[in-house]
Amino acid sequence: MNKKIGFTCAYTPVPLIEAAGFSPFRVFPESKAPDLSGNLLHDNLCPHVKKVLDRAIAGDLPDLEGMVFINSCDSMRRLSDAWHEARPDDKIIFLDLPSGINSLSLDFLSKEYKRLTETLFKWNNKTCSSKEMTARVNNRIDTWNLLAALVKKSSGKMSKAYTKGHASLIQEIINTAATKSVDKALLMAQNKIDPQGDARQGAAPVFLFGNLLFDPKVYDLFEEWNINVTGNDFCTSSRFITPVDKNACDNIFKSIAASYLNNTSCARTMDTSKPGSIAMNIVQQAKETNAKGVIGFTLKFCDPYLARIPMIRKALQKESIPFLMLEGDCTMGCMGQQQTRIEAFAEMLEV
Amino acid sequence: MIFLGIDIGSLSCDAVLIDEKKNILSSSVIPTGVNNMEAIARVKKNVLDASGIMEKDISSIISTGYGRTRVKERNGAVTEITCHAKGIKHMIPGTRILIDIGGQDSKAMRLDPDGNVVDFAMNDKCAAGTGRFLEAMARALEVDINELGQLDKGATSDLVLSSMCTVFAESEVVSLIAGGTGQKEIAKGLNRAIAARTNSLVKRVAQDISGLPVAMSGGVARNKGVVKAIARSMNIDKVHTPETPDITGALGAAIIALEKTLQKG
Amino acid sequence: MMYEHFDNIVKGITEKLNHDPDGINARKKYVLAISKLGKKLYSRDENIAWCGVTAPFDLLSAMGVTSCFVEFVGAMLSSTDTAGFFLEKAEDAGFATDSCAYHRAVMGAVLENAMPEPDFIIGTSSPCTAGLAIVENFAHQYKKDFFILNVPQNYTKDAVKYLATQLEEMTRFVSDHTKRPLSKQRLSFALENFNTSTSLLKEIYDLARTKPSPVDNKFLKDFGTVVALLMGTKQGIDICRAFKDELARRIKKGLHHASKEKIRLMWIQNRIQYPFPINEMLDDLGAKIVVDELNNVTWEPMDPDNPFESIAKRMISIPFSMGTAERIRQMQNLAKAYRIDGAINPCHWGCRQGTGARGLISKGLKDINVPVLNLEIDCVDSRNLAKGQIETRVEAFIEMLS
Repeated sequence: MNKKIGFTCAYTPVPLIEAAGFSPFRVFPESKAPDLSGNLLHDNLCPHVKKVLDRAIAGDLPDLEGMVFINSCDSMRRLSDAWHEARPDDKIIFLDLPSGINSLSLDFLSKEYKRLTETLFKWNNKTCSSKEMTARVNNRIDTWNLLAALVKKSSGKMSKAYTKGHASLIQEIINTAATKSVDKALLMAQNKIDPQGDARQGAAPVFLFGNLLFDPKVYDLFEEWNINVTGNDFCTSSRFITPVDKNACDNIFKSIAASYLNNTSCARTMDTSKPGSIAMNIVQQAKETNAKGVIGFTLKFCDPYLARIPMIRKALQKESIPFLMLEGDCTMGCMGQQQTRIEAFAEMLEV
Repeated sequence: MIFLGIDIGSLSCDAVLIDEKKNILSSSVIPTGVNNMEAIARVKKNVLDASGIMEKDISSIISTGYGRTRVKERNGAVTEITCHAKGIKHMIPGTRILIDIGGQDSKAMRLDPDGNVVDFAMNDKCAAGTGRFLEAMARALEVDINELGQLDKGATSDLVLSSMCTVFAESEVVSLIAGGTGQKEIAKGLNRAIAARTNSLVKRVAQDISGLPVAMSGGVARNKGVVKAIARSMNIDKVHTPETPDITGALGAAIIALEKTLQKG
Repeated sequence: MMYEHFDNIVKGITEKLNHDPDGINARKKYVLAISKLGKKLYSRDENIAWCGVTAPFDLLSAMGVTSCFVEFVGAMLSSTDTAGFFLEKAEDAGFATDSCAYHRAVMGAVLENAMPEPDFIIGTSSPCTAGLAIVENFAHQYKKDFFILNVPQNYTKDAVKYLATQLEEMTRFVSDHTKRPLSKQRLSFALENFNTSTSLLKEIYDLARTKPSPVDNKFLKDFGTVVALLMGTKQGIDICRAFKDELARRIKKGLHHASKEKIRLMWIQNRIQYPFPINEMLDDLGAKIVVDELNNVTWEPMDPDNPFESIAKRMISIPFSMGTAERIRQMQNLAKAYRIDGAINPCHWGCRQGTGARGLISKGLKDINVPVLNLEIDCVDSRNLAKGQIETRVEAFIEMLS
């Protein structure tokens, strides 16, 4: 079995981890580890970062060969800082991620992704020519793209006719790619990505966005609470399965950088030519998926979203699309508190 | 036909029986206590006894409130948001902004001209500005919760309470008392603090409320001091309150039971 | 309203200075310069840019742009006790109370049209994600062009080159808006001014290190962060010189309140902005803030022949841009150089960047036997201030150190 490389951010290209002969292991914030991260950092940090750090402190992790951190936001930077303290013997690589999208950023990020690949190969004692390294990366990207295409196709069906269990099944497949292997996820996808059964009638069609919603069971709750998920935009869903356009640029690392910078529309990244475009993107996705309403589900203390919610709310209001904003730690534990809000929202949309 | 609405909140458990013309036959409000199954049975018995109606004559039951799924005999469960909107439509027709301060959370709703909810906001999970908060404050002031609403009469100062966290506010109130600040001044400060909190909740659903009739439901609507402070803080003449604000949710639930039965035909 | 506010300060201080033409009056000159900058921003006679904290203000001023970081306005609103109104406005518009109040207050000012409309916006990814997100809101709200300087955290050759190239691109972006090309000569002057100011800063900090220290609790409050707005100008040099002269004079005359320096303290990150008598309280307790974390020169002199690279290196060298380990290393050096007895970290509410590292900072300073008091206070929003609790904590901390 391959050794594992841990990571925490959707801007980590899994094909690079696999190309170096490792298995990916996204450290999800699911743990019964005691709440100790506040001692190393602060209690008012996003629960994602805190819970992941709790896992590190408690040793609630599989054997990891190393960790990949991304400079995606302040909380992630602090997580990387604290990881050094919590697990001083771990190999760690910290990648800088530009905030603005332009050709300079693309060039810089491509170098960062190349540095990641070289580091991972070194960690796995793989000495090979740059040509061979590129070939391996290309190979893993092909599989990744197959998976991404299947996920995208299947997700597209949710907006037309939602079948019970569809959203949670897709999430399971995505999680398999994040924590086990892309091959396994692809196999799952090829076998059973579209659930059987009739389209669910009478539930409110809603588009979801936010940062982290990874537990497949969450989607079962949405169904129970009379919501049909028409589509979603989370760093644990569509933003994680980023297809790589291999022909986007003249070398593979640039192509990866271009794909991730342009497709992975986390609130921390912005298109300087269109300030506030995140709001329009959400409106567009809601419309494209025929949603009657939008639910934003974000982590508490997430600065990039905290600053964008007002503009998102305004943009949705302008289009007369009802919006429900929820905050929590994005695990099953916090869902109970949201039940009334979500059910009331569904009732409101039914009228 | 007879319809029953039951609203199981964290502080009180309310029930309303209506006939097919939406006439209220009887209603009851009791403390939920620690055992909500017991409270449900008791409140149901109260309304049946008071109206002389037999349980078998009830055509449909809708439950609401945070304990809505605990009502085993329900025909359906609907959130308190929808039920309060439905109830207020019957009690104060034309309401466009509805404030409901419940035991553990407060809500603001924007209604369309037909009384349907078009947007709503709920406070965070903390108890600040809710019924439970007021209970704690009444305890700190050593007055009965029902007296609290009138307590600010004649208060002249502009005392501002900075803490809205129940725990901190309680200790702030205690230290104000220790410092010699009068009960009525503190009560006024409390009302203003709750009003400010409520106002910001309302702003989340409607930036501009001019021309929109505002009503308040839920037990806290009985507290005249709070209601007045809310009106002042929103810069409006009046916040309308039903005669029996506690039963708004249960009444709404009963009306939904009636409407759903009629729809099924 | 804001123009009048700055104008009144300018008039008042100018009058006072006129009465004392030979005096050093460092702090007054500093406030005067900052108020003049504020006046300039609000008069809109020149091109205006709202920026992130680490933007190259020397380069921008060389290009004839009046520029300022947005947090400055948040701090100013707080210091004049007017932040509450703007915070409420921002909160009403949906900006959450979990966010940083520097940003929330300034956003409220934008929504209330109490900010001068910029010609363009220059965001910086350092010091914080929230700051960048807020200036994106500015660009969205004002519908103005937006440029981001991505400041990498890893101090590598590639990172320096990347940021230097972005700075070059920024000058083109600025020129496109001002219709003026960058004058190499003006940039050289600005960098020379910056270098002179830097040398003076080092002298100021050397003097402040003296034991007993000639500073008082307010003297260098937020100096390093704010003076960066002026360092590329002659005015910046004048101010730095005045501060240096004042400290030298105090040492010479023995005016260093030695009796009030039983405890020497370091203040971490920014100070409390609203009127709150913590400085007086520390005075009464015999404790003195002899150093602020951000009053530190972390950069090499600017090279006028290689301007973009040297500015890039400077931007990356600022503690905020780097990882916490480097920030702690710098704090440890300060702690030793200033021979401090303890440190106060206000733990500004809503600051993931700085406060986020609370535990690591405490541990890092504890490793060199420097106790840290974590205040847990909002440095801008005074509405929820629990004064009594803060006073008790500070007193207990000083008692412990004594």
